[in-house]
Amino acid sequence: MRRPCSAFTIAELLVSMAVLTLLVLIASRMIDSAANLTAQGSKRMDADSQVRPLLNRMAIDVSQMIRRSDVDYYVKSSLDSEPGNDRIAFFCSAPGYYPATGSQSSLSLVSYRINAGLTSAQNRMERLSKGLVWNGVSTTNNPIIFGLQAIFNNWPAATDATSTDADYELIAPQVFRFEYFYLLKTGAISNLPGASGMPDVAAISVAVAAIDQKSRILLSDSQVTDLIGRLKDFDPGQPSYDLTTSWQSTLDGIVDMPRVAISGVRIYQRYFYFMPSR
Amino acid sequence: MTPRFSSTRRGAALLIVLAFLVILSGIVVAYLTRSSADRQLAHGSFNNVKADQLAKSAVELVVGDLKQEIAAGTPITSSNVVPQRSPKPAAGALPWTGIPNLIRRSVRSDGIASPAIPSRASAVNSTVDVSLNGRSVSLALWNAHYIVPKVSTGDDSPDPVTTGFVAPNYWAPDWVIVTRNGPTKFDTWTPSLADSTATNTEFAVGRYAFAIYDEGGLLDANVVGLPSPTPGITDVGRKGNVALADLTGMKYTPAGTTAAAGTISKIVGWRNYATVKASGTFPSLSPTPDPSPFMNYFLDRTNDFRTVANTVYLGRTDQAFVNRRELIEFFRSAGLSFNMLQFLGTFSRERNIPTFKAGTANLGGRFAIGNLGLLKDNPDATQNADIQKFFGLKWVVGTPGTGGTPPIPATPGHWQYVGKTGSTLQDKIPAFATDPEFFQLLNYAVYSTNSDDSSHIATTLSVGATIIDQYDDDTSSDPTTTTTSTMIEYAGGNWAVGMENVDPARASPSPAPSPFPSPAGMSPTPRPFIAGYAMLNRPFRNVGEFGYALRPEKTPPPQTINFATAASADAPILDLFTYNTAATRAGIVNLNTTNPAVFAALLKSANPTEAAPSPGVGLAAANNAAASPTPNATSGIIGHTTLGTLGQPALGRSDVARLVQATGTSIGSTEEQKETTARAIAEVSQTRTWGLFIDVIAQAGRYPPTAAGLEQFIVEGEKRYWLHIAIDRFTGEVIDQQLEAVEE
Repeated sequence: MRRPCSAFTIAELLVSMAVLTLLVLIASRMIDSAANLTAQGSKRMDADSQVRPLLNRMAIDVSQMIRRSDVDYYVKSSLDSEPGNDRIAFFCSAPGYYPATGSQSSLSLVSYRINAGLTSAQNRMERLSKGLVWNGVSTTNNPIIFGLQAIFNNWPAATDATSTDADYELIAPQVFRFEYFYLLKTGAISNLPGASGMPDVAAISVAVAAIDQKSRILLSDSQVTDLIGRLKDFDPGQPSYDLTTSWQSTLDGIVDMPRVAISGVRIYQRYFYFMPSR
Repeated sequence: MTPRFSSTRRGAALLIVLAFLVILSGIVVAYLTRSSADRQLAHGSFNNVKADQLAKSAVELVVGDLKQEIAAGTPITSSNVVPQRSPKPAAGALPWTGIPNLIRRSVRSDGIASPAIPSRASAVNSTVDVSLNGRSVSLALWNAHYIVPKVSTGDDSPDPVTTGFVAPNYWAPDWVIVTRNGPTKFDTWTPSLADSTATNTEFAVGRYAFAIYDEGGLLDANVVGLPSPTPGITDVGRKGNVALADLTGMKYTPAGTTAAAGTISKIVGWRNYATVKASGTFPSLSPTPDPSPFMNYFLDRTNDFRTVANTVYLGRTDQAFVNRRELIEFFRSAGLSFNMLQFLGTFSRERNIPTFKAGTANLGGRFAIGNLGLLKDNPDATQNADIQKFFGLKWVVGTPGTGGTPPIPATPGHWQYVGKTGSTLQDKIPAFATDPEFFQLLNYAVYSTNSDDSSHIATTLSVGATIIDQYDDDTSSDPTTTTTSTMIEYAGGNWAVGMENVDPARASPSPAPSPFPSPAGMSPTPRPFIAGYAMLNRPFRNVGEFGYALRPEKTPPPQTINFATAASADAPILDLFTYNTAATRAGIVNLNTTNPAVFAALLKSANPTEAAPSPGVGLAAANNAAASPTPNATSGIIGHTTLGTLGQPALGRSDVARLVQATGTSIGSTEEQKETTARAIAEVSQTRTWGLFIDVIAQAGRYPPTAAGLEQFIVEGEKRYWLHIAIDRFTGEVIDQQLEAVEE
C-alpha cells in the first residue's frame, strides 16, 4: 500500500511562519537591545579609556610642574583669557622626548592643547613633551630658560593651537573641548592664577568633553568646531559645578546635529591639587 | 506513526536556538571582558589617586605634628629650639656619627622626647616586613635622595650607612597604618584591620612611612660654591655670603676625600651661567676669570637668592636646582661625586628677623649694616632725613677757631644725637618698641633694654662712633678741622668721639704743632693713636666685623667689641644687624647643623687677620673637618650646638660667641683671629627656621580577610613625596614649602 505523502496544510504553514516571525522579531529585539546596551557601554568605555589616561597623565605632569616665581608658565591669565579651548604649557620634572644628542636634564616642557589647525589632528587633544638638555650643552637645543615669557619666546609652538612641532603627540583624539580654571589658596575659584602667579594656586580644575569614535564620525569637523564654541568658557562668577552642568544643558538642547552623535559626548572634570595647604 | 523526518526538523530548531544563544553569549562575553578590563583599569587609576591622597594626607599629618611640637614647646629654650631627634645620639657619643641629617623617622614604640609627637608607627617595618604581594622599600630606595651618607664611596649607588642602628631594620621607617579612623598604632595583629564591615572604624585603608632630615643644616646648592679661578683671598676671606663657602673644605668620605676647586666650579658655571659668562660645554663650563660679576651678584645686599638672576648671556639664563631630583641628575650627568650630596640641599629659607629678645621690644627685622654708608659729612636734606631716621643724628657744620684772647678752638663739623624725631639733643637713649635706630639697637644689644637709658648713652654713642669710623673709608673729612673721626654731641655739652688710627686733625707728634689745628686747636679732639688697633676703613662685609670696633670705655686699650667669649654682653650684636637685607632669603644655614663638613666649608678660606689677608694658617690645618670626628675648630662648634655632654643648641646668632670660644685657639690666639669664626659664620647662619626635608611613602591597599599579621598587607597603589618645608620655630608659620613628587 502506498504510503500517503505527508505535507503541511496551508494553515499550518501560515501559523508556523507567524510563529517564526514572532520568534525572529523577539530575538532580533533581544539582540538589538543587547547590542545597543553594549554599544552604549562601549561608547562610554571608549570615552573613559581616552580620558582616564589623559587625566592620569595630567595628574603626573601637574604634580611635577616647576612652580617658581622666576619660571615661566603659559596659562590662562589676564594677558590671555584663552576663549574657546584652553592651552597650558609649563616646565615639568617629568622626562620628555629628548634631542638625539646632548646630555639630558631631568626637566621637560609640557603643553596641552586642542589642535585647531586644519590637519588630521584638528579638534583633537595633543600633548607636547619636549625633553630639555642641560644648560651649556648646545647652542641650538634649549635648556630651561628662566624668566617670564620664556616659553612664548623660545617655544612658540607650545603656546598656540595651530603651530606644528614634532614633539606633539595625540594623547586623546576623542577629546575636543578643554577648559580649566584655578582654585586659589584663598578658596576662591578664578580664571586668573592670583597676584603672585601659580604659587597662589591650590589646584587646577580641568574639564574636558570627549566623544567616542563611532559618534564622532557622524559629525563633520566644522560641526565639532561649532560644538566647541557652544560649550561655554569658565565663568568665574558662577559656582565651580556650573561649567559641566552648563555643558550638559547645552548638549541636551542641541537639535541641529545628530542626536546619536551628541549623546555620545561625555563630560569629565577633575581637580589637580598642587601641594598641602599651609 | 512518527514521520521519518521529524527528528531532523527538531534538530534544525535546536541549531537555530543555539546559534542565537552563541551570538548573545558572544556579545555578553565580549562586553563583560571589556567591562572587566575597564574596571581593572579604573581600579588601578582609583588606587593611584587614593595613594596620592593618602601620601598628601600623610605629609599634612607629619607637618601638623611638627607644628604642634612648636606650639607645645614654650618657652623656647635650648632643649626645644631644634626639633627633637629620634634616635638621639647616645650620651657622650659624637653627634655626627651615624646619620647626622636624620632628625626622626616613623618608628614603633616611638620614645621621642616631648614636646615632639610620637610617630604612631605600628610594629611593621617598611624594609624587612615584605607585603603579601611582595612589596617592600629597601634602605637604598629610602636613600634615593642621597641625604644619608653612602657606604660605597666610589660609585653612585644610594647604599646608605647603617652605623649606630640595630639589624635587621636599621634606620628603615616603620609603617603607620591608616584606618578609617585615621593613623592608628598597632603593636600586634588585630583582625579588625581586615574587617571591611561598614561600621568597623579599624578597617585599614592604607599605610605610610616617613623620615625627616635637617635640610636647613645643609648647604644650599643654589647659592654655595666658588668659581675657579677662585676670587682673591681678600674677596673670599671676608665672607659675608654663603656663596663664599669654600666647598673644597668638605671632606665627604671617611677617608677624607675633598672636591677640587675645578669640580665646584662646574656647578657655578652651570648655575650662574649668564652671570659669570661661562664658556665651554656642559659639564665643563668655565666661568669668566674675572671674579667681579660673581662677587657683585652674591654681595648684592638686597638679593634674596630665591630666584635666579635675570641676566641673559648667549640666549641663556642662570639656572637653579628646581628640586632635589634635578640636583641628583646634575651630579650624575656632570660626573660629580655623589658623596657630596649628603651636604647639599636645594631649598632653604629664613626670615631675616633676630631671635634675641629683651624687655618689651618686638623687632620686625635686623638693622641693615649698609645704612652706615649714609653717614657722610655735610649731607643734603634728603640724606639728613634718612640719617635721622636710621641713626637719630643731625649734621652740624663746624666753626673755625679764632686766635684772639682768649683763643676759641674750632668746633669740628659733627653729629648731634637728637633721636629719630625732633631736634633736641638727647640726654638718654630713648625707649623704643618696634623700629629702633642704630644707637637704640646697639644699646638694646649690649644692655638688654628698650626703655629710656640715660646710664649708657656715653658708651653707646662712643661705641657707635667707633663702628662708624671702622665702616667709613676716610675719604670724607670735616672741612673745618680736617678730622675724620666721628664726633657726636649729646645733651649737656657732652661728646662721644670715634676712633681713627690716621686722623689729619690729630696733633702728631703731639703736642707739636701746637695748638693744632691752628690757630686755637679744636674741641673736642680726636682720640689718641692706639697701637695694635686694626682699622678696616671699608664697608663691613658681615656682622662679625663689628668686632673690630673699639670699646673706648674699656682699659687697657685697645679692647674691641667682644665676640670671642660665651659670656660677652656684645654677642647679641651678631643677631641684630645684617649685611643682607632681604626679608626672606635662601642659603642661610642652620647654626645647629650636625655636619662638621658644612662648618668646614663655611670656615675655609676665611681671613683671620685684616692687616695680612691669608687663607689662615690655623684654618688651613684645622678647618678641614672630616665626616669622621676630628678634634678641631669645627667639631668644637658642633659639639657646642648639640644636646648631650658637649653643649647645647644655639638659640640665636648671639650664641656664635659661645661657639667662637669653643674653637679655642685652633685658628689663632688673638681676639681677631678667634673671631674669624664669628665673621665667617654669624652672617650666614640662623636658628629660627626649621628647614626640613620630609620623605613620605604612602601605600593604598588593604588587609585580606585571611590576613594574620601586620605585614600581610596587599599594596594596590604607591606614592612618594619629598616635602621641603621651612617653619619658623618662633611663630609656627610655614615660611615656604615645596612638594616634590617622586616618580621612580
